[in-house]
Amino acid sequence: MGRCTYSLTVPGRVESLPQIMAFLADRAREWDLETGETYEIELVVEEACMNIIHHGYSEAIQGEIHLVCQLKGQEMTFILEDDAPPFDPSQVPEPDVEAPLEERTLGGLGIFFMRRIMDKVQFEQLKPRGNRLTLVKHRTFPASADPPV
Amino acid sequence: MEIKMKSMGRAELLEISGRVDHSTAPELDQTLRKIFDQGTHHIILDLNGVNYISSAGLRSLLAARKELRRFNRGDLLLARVQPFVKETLDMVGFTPLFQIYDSVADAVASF
Repeated sequence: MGRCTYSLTVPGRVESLPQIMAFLADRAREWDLETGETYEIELVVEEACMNIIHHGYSEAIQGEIHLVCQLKGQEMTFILEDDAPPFDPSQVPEPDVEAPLEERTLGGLGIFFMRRIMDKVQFEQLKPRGNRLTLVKHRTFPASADPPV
Repeated sequence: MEIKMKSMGRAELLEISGRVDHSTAPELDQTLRKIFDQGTHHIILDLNGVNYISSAGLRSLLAARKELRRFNRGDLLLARVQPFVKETLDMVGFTPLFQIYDSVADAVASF
């Protein structure tokens, strides 16, 4: 299978989410992804975009999200770049997914999903400004082959 | 996302379909808020038609159940959760926090 790379640049606003999801749905069809793989990728990319929109950008700092999707063999890569202030993932507390209802909060769930679902999650700060998030997922079996029994 | 509301006597039923994500979850929050404000504290969410939920939707579910459980006023039950949505609930440890029913009738009967 050859390399297939696609990119999309949208304003870093929640209103861009349907366009991002439609772009991912197109890739899922072209790459013949399973329903579960599509679900996971949509979830992770949505959370990554919303982290940029909610925590990177603001009324005062607006910018774009640049998304690159690449399929190389069995490896799917999603790269998200923004112009937001430096993002340090170590400052995001790990969610306690065993806490009782009264104590449960949902902070940090986006990064939690990324780390649970993807095989590689890499945050980089860009010069002179901006951030790059690289998400990699290895397909468990080829789309053209029968799924494992 | 679409929300259809039905009164089931003991509870208000919300039939939700489509995607519950950061674009659509605010509409679910508003609908739930309206129901709370009308004094209804027994709510069932029929998620049979929901094929996707992200953290925004999870936040809506959590906030609603917390609100209803406060002072034991009522509860929010889930019914007919689809497998991928269930996996998402499992991943974040939500399954033990909610009562999940295979049918709406079972959920109604539990109130």
